[in-house]
This record gives sequence, C-alpha cells and structure tokens, in this order.
Amino acid sequence: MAKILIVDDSQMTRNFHAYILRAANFQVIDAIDGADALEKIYRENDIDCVITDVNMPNMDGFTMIRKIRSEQTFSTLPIIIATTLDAANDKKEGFKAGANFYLVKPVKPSVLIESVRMAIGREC
Amino acid sequence: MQHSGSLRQMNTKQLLKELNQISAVNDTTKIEELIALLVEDRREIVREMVVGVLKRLKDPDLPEKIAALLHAQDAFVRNSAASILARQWDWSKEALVESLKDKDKNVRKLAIDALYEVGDPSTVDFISIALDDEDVNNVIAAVEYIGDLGGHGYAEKILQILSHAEDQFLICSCLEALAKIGDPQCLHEVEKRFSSPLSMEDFMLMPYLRLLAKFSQPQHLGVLLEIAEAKLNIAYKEIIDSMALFINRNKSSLKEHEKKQIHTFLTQAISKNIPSANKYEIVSLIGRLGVENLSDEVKTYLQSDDPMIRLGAIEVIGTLKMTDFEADLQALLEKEKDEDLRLAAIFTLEQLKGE
Amino acid sequence: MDFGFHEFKTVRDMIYAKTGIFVSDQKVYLLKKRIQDRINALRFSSASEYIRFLKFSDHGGKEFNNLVIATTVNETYFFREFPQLQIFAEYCLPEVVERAKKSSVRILSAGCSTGEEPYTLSIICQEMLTPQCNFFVEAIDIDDRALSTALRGIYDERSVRDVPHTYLEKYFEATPEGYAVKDFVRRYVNFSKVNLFDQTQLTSLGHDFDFVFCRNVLIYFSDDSRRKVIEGFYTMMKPGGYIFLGHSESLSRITTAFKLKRMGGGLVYQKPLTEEG
Repeated sequence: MAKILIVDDSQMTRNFHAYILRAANFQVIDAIDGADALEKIYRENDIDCVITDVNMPNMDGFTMIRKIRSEQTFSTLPIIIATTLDAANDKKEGFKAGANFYLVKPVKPSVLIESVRMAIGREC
Repeated sequence: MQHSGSLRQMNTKQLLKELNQISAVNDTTKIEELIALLVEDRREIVREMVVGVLKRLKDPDLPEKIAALLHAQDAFVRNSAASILARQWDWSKEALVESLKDKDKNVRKLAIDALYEVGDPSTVDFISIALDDEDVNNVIAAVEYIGDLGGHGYAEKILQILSHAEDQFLICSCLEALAKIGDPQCLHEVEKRFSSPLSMEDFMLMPYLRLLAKFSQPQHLGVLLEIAEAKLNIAYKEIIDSMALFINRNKSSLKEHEKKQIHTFLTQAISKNIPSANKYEIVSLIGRLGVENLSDEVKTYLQSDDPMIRLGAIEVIGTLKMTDFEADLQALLEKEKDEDLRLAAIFTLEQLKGE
Repeated sequence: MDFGFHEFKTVRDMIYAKTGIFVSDQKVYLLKKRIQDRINALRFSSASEYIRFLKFSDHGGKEFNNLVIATTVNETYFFREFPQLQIFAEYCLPEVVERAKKSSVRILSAGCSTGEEPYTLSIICQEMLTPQCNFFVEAIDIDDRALSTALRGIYDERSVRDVPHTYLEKYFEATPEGYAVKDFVRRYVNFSKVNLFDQTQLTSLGHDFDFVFCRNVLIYFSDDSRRKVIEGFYTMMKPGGYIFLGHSESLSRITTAFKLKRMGGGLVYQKPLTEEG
C-alpha cells in the first residue's frame, strides 16, 4: 500500500483528499505546511508520493519542493502540486521547483487518484 | 539613537542586534528598508527575522504597505504578508477587507486566509463576504473557516450554498461546516437531499456521517450502524468518532436493546485491524455507554498486550467507579512499564479510594 | 465529559502547530484529566466549550501554556533521551570534527538546570574525541538554586539510572552523599547564570558554538520568545553546527532556517554551511 503525504494548511482539504485516497486503498498521512511536511518526509523516510498546496504559512509549497529536490535521497520522490493558483507563471514555477504534476483546485476525485497512480507508477 | 548603516549590508549577527533594536524602540522609519530586505534578501534566517519585526512594529500605515505584498510573485513574501496582516489585526482590518475585493482571486484567497489566521471569531462577518465570491475555491475556504470559527449565524446561508452546490469539494465543505455550526433542523434538510447515504461516494459520506452523528436522535441508530459496519475498514476514525458523538448525544434516551446493539458493534470493531488509539477510544466508549456486567470484559482489556487498550480499561474502571478492581490495578502497577499508564492507574486508584 | 479521542486530537494538533511539541497517544488520559480539572475550575459546561476558549479566547496563551506544561513531565537525568545523544556522539560530533579539521569543539547547554546534561556531554566528548581535540561545554541557566546543585555535582541513584555501568565507574565517584562527578568531567564545563531572553547576555557567550543543546526548555516560552531565543542561537553557531531540542519538540514550527538531516535513523537540524542554505 503506497504511503501518500498530503500537505495543506486547510484541514478540510487534508480530510477531503485523505478520504478520496483512503477509499482508493492508499495509506495517507498529512502535514499542515511545508516545514511540517519536510520533517515528516525525513522522519518517515518511506513516503511514496507528496501532494502539496502552494500558499501556506510558515513554509510555502515551492520552497518545500526546492528543499526536497536539493536532497539526493529525495530527488525522484513523486510530487504533485494541488493549488488554487492557475496562472501560467505559477505552473512554470512549480515545475521549475521540481514538481511532477500540477493540479488546480478543486481537484476532481478521479483526477487526484489517477495522478497519484501515474506518479507512483502503480495502482495503489 | 545612534545612526546605523544600511540593513542590507549587515551580516546576520549585526542584523539580529539591529532588528531587536528596531523592534524595541518601534523605529517605524525603517519600514521601507525592512520590506526591501524581506523581498530581496536570500538568507532564510534574515527573512524570518524581518517578518518577526514587521509583526511587532506598531504603525497605522504599515498594513497598507504589507497588503501590497499579497500580490508578490515570491510565495514566501505573499504568505508572510498574510501572516503579518493577521498579527496586525488591530490596524489591518481595513487593508484586509479592501483585499477581499481585489480583482485577483488569489489575493482575495490570501486575505481570507489571513482573516482566519487572526484566530478571532469576530472575523467571521468579514470572511462571510467571500461566501459570495465568484471563485469556488474562495467560497470553499470561507465555508471551512466560518465553520471552524463557530459562525452559527451563517448556517442558513451555508445550507443555501449546499442546496445549489455541484462541486463535490464544496458539498463536503458545507457538510463539515454544518456539523460544526448547524442544528437538528439543518440535518433534517440535508437528509432530504441525501436520502440514501450508503450510495454516496465514500469521501462525501464521511462529512455526512459526522453531521448525522452530531445532531442525531435515537432513531438514527439504524442508519449509523449500517454505515459503520459497511465502512469500518476504510473509515475507522470517522466511524468511531461518530459513535462517540451519537452516544454523547443520545445516551440517556437509549433503550437497553439499542445499547446492546452498539456494544456488539464496538466489541467486534476492537478485534479488527485498526490502530491502537482507536481501540482505546472503543474501550472508553463501552464504558460510557452504560451497559451492565462489564467486569469480565474490562478484566480482559486490562490484560491486553496493547497498552492503549489497557489505558482504556483503566479509564473505564475510573469512570464507572469499579471499586472491586483495586487489586487488579495494584497488580498492574507491579509490572507496568509505561509511565503514562502508571500515572493513569495511580490516579484511578486514588479516585477509587475516595469513593 | 464529551472528551473523546477526537477532542484529544484537536488539542494535540493545536499544541503541535503552536509549539512543535508532539503529544503521544498515551498522554490522552493525562490530558483528559487535566482538561476535566480545568473545566471544573473555570466552570465550562463541556470539553468543546473549553477547547473553543483555548482556540479563540485565551488571549496571551496562559491557559494554553499551562496545559502544555501539564502534559510534559520534565525530569532531568544523565543520558536523558539516549538515542538523540547517540546520534550526537556517533554521527554529528565526528562529522563536525572531520569536516572542519577541528582541534577544539564548543558546546552550549542552554537551560542546563541541575547539570546532568552538560556533564553528560562532557562524558560523551571524553569518550568520543581524540586527546588532540579539545572541547568545552558552556552551561547556562537562570535558576540560582539549580546552578548551585550543578556546581556541587553530586547526584542520587535516580539521576544516574541511565548511565552505562562502565561510565559510572569511570566518571563518577560513589560518596556517602551520592554519586560525585569526577574532576576531569567538571573541568570542561563552565556554569553561568544567563537569561535566555536577554539577547545581549546570551550572545556575549560567543559566536563559535559547534553544538547547541536546548532540550525541553522552550516549552515554557511564548511563540515570540521561542523564536527570538532560536534566532540568538543561530547567530551564536558556526556554519555547519548542530542544534538539539527535546525529542518531542520540533524546530520547524519555530524556524525553517536550519537544514534538516537524517542521521543514524533520526532527525537533526544543522545550521547551513552557507547562509543562503
């Protein structure tokens, strides 16, 4: 069962995404912002995919992704951005930081599941 | 005050000293320079220190300058701006309300986030402006925050939004918010829309379940147990939480056979492959349920290999004042290694002796 | 009382988000009891009402802080939080000495209380460093009484319960009053009275620390003071130096300026080698 980390400062979003993924047989943990997520990624050390928001207090999603990518161990960790930001330059910045997928909220449940499956290269 | 050089040319050691000084004497002449530092400096510690100072400086003109940063391309700058405005609430009201009307939906979203970050229920009336936002994400955020801040006055409006909502996330948000600020009448309205809960998508069923349990009456037991049995594997947390809500709300009016039904479900659930913390909750719920003749069951839990189940048993002994368990608790203390469990046992023993 | 695991998680999440302290599942009973007492004392009608008060009406955060303190047992003893010390000894210490080709190491023990931590650090350094490498531990606290106990350096059975047997023989002397720390352990520790809130006093200790230990101390501080103390430490540390908080405390809730590293199966925080991280 793949372990997915959901990073979002909104509890409702964390819950919503977690319900969707748990129903699709993923194991889910969550983090309240980029800094919290980084700690969890380092501590757990077995996360298969990260789904992250961008605008968050304490540490934003782009900064977090750059930090993840600066570490050799996590250079290939699949990262999906799920954000309300839909402008072209935001997408550009997201991919430049090192994201693999870019989804605009509200994310359709089927799209979320499909993106995770594509990102990790397996069903669940 | 001694005139110092440009902030930009200082090393972190000098800056720390200088920034402390600026903060201590509320040197508002440095605001422009601080903002420039926040925007341009690449040292994380420096940016953080500057944000700290900007949160503390007192100047009525500051919020307007900070609000301009909500437009920043740099994510750190715009999010910091939102946090500074939240912290400066006494002065920033006007700037934030103005930002709620910005033509950029992302700036409006940051303003809503900042209003929530203030952490004061009085912001609900401002956040509610976003219930009419043309952007669905902003409506969703407003619904979540109003629920969390306890904006009971907006339950009706959220119910209205729910009745027109098509986006699934918005529907979930409304259900979750109503579970916090609604009332039994809200539940009644929602039940009309979702007449067969088990056919709902799982992710929507969870917030529905919470709303149902929160305002439930004994007659909801059937549907609650039906959902619980069907979905325990994927939603043990939510289901156990719902059971807890149901029991708290209906305990005094439950009939013996209804209690028995719940008890049967709970004892089955405890044997399933679910996390220990949830098993603790189940044991604790069995105690609260008020069924008779629990001694043997509690004894089994007290001897469980799972520390959280043992903790649940200790709690039940205290709750139900089961004085004949004194010796068992003493025996447990002889060998229990977990400090938190030991404390619980000691407190419970004291409690029993006081009876 | 309507305080179930859901409510426990709400309070736990609040504590984590605000202070970086993780409250384990086992603490549920303790927290519940504490909250029950507070509900009675403050005459709230339910746990949810109390939680709402904590969230929105506890201006200044006094009630919240007391709640956090009540859930943390703060007992100090030698080799406390052993796995963390092991990471320091076996990974961080050699890394710093090797990288910087150092002939001396400086350590700050902030909030050293009755001295168990700085003496433990002195013992570890004696064990791990070659004789060519010097070390020194600056131990600071604000409490005069704790400091005088530290200076006396004699401890009871309970304080030394986690000291490995060979170390106990090597570094302690059994006296009628208790276990006395030997002179060659004391020699490398300097105790002084310093207020962590006084940045001038704090930073006057120097800017060349390789390690800062500040374990289970910041829990007693407000958000702002916590941040200020850490900013102070940051400037007092050499690039590449390590900072250690208590094992249930998380630095990332206070600052993100330190670099996270995974070492010896645990997490450590390092000051970036270059200032831009």
